[in-house]
Amino acid sequence: MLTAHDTAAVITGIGSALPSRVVTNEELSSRLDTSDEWIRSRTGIRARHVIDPGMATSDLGVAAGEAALKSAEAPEVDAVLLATTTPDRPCPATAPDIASRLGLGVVPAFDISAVCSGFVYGLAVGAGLVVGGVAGSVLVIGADTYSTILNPEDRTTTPIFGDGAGAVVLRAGTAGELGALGPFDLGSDGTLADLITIPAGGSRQRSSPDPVPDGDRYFQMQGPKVFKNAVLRMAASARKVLARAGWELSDVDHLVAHQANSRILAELADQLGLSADRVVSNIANVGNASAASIPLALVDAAQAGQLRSGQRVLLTAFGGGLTWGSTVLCWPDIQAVSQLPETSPGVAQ
Amino acid sequence: MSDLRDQLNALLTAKFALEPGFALEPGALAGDPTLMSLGFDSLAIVKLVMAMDSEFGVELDEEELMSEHTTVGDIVGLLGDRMSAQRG
Repeated sequence: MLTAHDTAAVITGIGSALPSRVVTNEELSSRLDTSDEWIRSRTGIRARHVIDPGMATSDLGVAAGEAALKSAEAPEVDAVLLATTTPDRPCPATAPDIASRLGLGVVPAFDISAVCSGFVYGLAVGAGLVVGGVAGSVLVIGADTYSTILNPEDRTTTPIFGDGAGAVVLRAGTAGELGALGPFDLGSDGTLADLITIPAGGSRQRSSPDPVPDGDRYFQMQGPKVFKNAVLRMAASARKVLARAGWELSDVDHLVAHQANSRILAELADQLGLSADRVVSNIANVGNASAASIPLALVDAAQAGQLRSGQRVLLTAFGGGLTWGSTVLCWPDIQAVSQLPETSPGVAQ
Repeated sequence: MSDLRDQLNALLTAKFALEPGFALEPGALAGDPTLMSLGFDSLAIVKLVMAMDSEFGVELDEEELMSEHTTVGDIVGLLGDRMSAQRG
């Protein structure tokens, strides 16, 4: 267990960015065989934000990064990490472009690929850089644009996901401070890689002489198996990280879990024995924003006054890989900032 | 077997009565209703499988229950078989 004087990574700022365009369930129902009632009762989602044509993940990442830097009152950081499933292009990583556009100079910057667990993985890597003395401060961004990888004709995935970005600034501090990230629990199970996947576009498909089957260029998910694994993995990971932190479940003021589906959140809370009022949820308005999901929920709860300085927060995430991860912190005294993303002026309209 | 049916009915009532979109009014479990007629979708079936694992210590494969014809009685049969095998 960490002692209060040990070096730790401390959250000093948080920001978010959502594209201005909102797609309601009614709008989706006009082009897919679905309905507002069906989507709401099955997922808890009423609307999601979606980028306009020409916008990219980096545009959301830049806006969320700028918001987090403002929130931290820090004009500079020593490193930039981007957790994403939807980089601007397969190569190179998107984080260096974001770092340059934020005016951060030649700092180290790289992407982290852990699908919906990406933000918690990013926090762990960022904390590692800080505690290991590699960087004094790190900007950790979770940004995704699933609207670019969803099959528009798939009514089982299209209603679930939304676009967005969230970011935090970490700096070196001590474990006893508000905002200090506690121990982490991270895990993966590659035997279940096919449960959440885009089969085509990588080396396996590109080296194959076979034609690409219809649908393989799009995001695919085996919902029932994902539901079961998400609930069981997040519950087990949450229990592990609480034990490492020396916290009881009754100590937790807010569970901020990956916003995958309101029924996953309800079942997870049920498994952990947490009452609904301790579960932060903004999925109704943003859908599942993948790597952006947890920071978007944190910003929403902080701005609504639900999440207050000193409260004990449990973060847990689950995603493709499979991957999962959890950590804890006492919420710092910070002002969350939201910013509207803009398409990079370098892109021809 | 009827004890197991009573226990399963109690579990269904406790776990699903408040779920939106479900038709677990009093009397809904009389006879041998299909899961589909009770309002179960695939995620609800997974939730039931997890609940039965905690309650009875038997982990059924959700794929076995996904047919639109699966009834509450079918599940009692599967549970009973699995529990006898475990006692073996």
